[in-house]
Amino acid sequence: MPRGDYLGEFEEIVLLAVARLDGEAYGMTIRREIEERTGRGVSIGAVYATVERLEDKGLVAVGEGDADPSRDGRARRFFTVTPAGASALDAAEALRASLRRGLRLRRSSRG
Amino acid sequence: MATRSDPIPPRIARRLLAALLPERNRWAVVDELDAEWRLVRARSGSEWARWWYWRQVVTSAPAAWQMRRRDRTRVRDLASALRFGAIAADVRLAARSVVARPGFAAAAILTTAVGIGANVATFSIVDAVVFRQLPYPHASSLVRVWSANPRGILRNAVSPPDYFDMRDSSHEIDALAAFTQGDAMTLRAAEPRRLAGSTVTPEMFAVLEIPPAFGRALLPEDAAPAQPVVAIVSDAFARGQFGSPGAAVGQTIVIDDAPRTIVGVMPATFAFPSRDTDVWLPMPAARRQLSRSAHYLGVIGRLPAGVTVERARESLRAVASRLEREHSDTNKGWSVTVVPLQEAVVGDMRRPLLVAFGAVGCVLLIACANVANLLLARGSRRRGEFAVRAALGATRAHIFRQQIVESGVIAIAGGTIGVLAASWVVSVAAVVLPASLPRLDEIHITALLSGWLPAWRATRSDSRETLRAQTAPYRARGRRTGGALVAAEIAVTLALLVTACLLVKSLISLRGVDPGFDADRVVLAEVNLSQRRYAPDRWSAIYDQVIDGLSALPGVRAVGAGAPLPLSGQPGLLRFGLVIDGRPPLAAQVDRIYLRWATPGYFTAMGIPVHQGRAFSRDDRADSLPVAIVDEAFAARHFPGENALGHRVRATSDSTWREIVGVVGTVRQTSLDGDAEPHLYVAAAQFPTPAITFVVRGDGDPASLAAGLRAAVHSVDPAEPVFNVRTLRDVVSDATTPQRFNAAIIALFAGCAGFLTVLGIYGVTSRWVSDSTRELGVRIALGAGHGQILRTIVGRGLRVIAVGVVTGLVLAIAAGRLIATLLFGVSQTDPMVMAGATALVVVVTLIATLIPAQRALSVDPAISLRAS
Repeated sequence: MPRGDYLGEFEEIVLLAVARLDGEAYGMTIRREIEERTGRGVSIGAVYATVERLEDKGLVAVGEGDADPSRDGRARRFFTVTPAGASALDAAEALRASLRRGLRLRRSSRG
Repeated sequence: MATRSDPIPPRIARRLLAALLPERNRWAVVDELDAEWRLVRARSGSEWARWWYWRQVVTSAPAAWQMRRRDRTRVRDLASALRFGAIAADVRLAARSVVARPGFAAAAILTTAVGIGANVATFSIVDAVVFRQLPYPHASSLVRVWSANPRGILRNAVSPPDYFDMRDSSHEIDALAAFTQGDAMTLRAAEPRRLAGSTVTPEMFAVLEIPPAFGRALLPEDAAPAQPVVAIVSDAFARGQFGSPGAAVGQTIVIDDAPRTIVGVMPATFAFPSRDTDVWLPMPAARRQLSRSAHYLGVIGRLPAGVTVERARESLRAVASRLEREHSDTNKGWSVTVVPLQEAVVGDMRRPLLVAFGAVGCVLLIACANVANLLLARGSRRRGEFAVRAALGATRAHIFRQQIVESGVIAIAGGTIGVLAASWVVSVAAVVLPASLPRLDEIHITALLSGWLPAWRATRSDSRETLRAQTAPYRARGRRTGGALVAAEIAVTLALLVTACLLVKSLISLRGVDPGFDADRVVLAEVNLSQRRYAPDRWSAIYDQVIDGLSALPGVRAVGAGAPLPLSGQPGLLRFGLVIDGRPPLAAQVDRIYLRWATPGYFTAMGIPVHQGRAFSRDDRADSLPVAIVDEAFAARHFPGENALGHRVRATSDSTWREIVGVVGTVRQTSLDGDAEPHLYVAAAQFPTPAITFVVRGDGDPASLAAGLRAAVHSVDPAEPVFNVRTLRDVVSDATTPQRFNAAIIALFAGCAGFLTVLGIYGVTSRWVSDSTRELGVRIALGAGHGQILRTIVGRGLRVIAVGVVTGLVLAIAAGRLIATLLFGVSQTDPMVMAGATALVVVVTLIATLIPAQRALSVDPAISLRAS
């Protein structure tokens, strides 16, 4: 996996949202979680496209709930973070921490 | 389980998203979005939710497309991947070449958009109103039943006893229900208000097969008491009064002074007999005892499976002829009319809408011709490019495919803009269209695919033509094709323009009809007195009190009251048989008259002239000689050549003889285009009516008059609601709404067609000029003057215009026959209209040829010769 070793920013956000929702991660709840936590608008399409990519990378697993009569009998899909996904999140965190360690950022003070 | 009344997300957006997404996760994504939409809707209302949903779909589009691409790459089918890549390359190339010639692209896309947009919008409207099934289960087995009156009015209301007899003795019809429509009812509450009510027989809900959403339907025993005590209310009424439909069941409301218990609430979608109906009351079974000569019921029925409308008609006619024998005094000559309910509801709007549909089809034809011309012109300009590509190894199929893809890009862009514009037009139309248009609220865009498909076809077939044109010795041929297309456009435009002018002219002559009263500077307001608090003998005194209060207002010139007002469509436009003292009874039920109430000041306030005798006066009291006033139509029909004054008459529903004391001018009471019918006015003081309209003529502005009117009624009794405050001018103008609608819509299409045609002829002439640059250069070099060059170019244009105009006039005459029934006071072949429209088309198209012809004059012979 040439690029799969690193999580993209949005991938990381989505993966974190799936983890936070812990078993309640559906397309809609993931979208809402991200919007509420980050305050930025996200489209359902972007969420789904990212979750699918995470699934391809083996970081997220898909499950199907019971058939839902309000969806013409279609089952609702939910997502969980796989062990690989959890380690990817940890790795991302660690990577960032190691880059950040010992760094002092200069900021110009504003009046 | 999702029910039909559940709100659904914006349909177009939803379909769009589903179309963009790959199969594997299509519904997963859409379902999630729908679920969240329901949350958003519950929290922020449907408007916001709609907007939110659209935004989600639009912002999801790139990601959806991306997922689709991933779908493709997962397929390890090399061949299909390659083919897809080639088409993608073509699309990119097409997009680039479209962008490279923005003028051409804009013209083609705009033209397609106008054609498609107008069509999708019109189709959606026509589809909803004319073609789609009524919103009742098994709607095709529903029928509407009328009495057919001996004077030839086939759709006359039914009398209650006739209805009950038909219901009980027809074997071919499952159930027959009667209803009244638009009954004025007053809700007595802290804030009294007027209700639109319908009195129905308990069968109504079973006939329509729509049960209440809450509570129960009406039962036969509900209709047993003379003053029924239950009511069924609309969803909107229940929400307004009690907060939610469920909470309304069991509540008591006071309607027209009688308490009623709400036993059921209809679903929000239920709209029979009309969308604004607030309350349905049971019709007392005792109405069976009423007179057979009072016709005021609407009747609908449901046919059992296998029974045709014809058989139902025969069976009801048999009942009618039995009634004719048994009640020859009232029923002689009366029969029945049975028509499918769908046809009855769509009724008179079918023809205007189909005409509009035809007109918009013409606009699409013109748009197609224009795009074809544009593509032809472009093909000829790009011969060089194709030659180079062929030389570099492109096969004919390659070039062909690229052309198709290019057309497709234009078709999709034009179609999309058109569909979006149409959805906007349709949402505006719901507000602008006349409320009299049946099924108005059922209109929405239905033609998503039908929009793109013709666009695709239109552009596709010509790309083939283009290709042929450029490989063959194409010039003369292409020119001829272009000329023929433009001639056809001119013909269609002229026909549309003539049709539009005829409709506008008939609208003008309709407005020129003298309604028989003076509608300017008159304000109206209605009251409906509480019959419990006021005995009938006090009604007239209350009217007098209000009228006196109004007369004292500054700027008021005349005040009166009457009912029902002309052209108002007010309920109570009943017609009665007439008896003249000293004459044998008139042929039973044949000579019907309209009965009107009036106070002394009514005729002055309305501006109705008194031709003979006098108007009513305050001396005409309940205890004085009963009097009546007739109009000239009455005098002419019943007293031709003699003096009507002094004769005594009575309506068949009335036992009192009234002496005619005045003859007033004829008034158009029901419609401006129909014949004036005879009217009999009775004095409100001698024949009490609880519902009356005050008529105030004054110099002041209508708003302050209206305020004075409310105040005057309130000072007499603050508990009486005043409603329908409006100007008489508005009433008259509402009476011409359907005609205005017809004229406006056809004029709009004629305008679209004209615009496209001008574009088309301009384009074709430009092409002639650029194609003939060399020829013109040679002629200029050989000494041809400007006049000669202009004559050549314009001459070609004129030939096309002449062919177009002649064909157009033939088309216009054919179209005139189609709309003959919609015209009033203007002949289908009105010479003024024909000449005017022709002149307009000729002038405008000539100008469109002159502009490019002008360019031909500036051809520099040296350059044009070198170019070749």
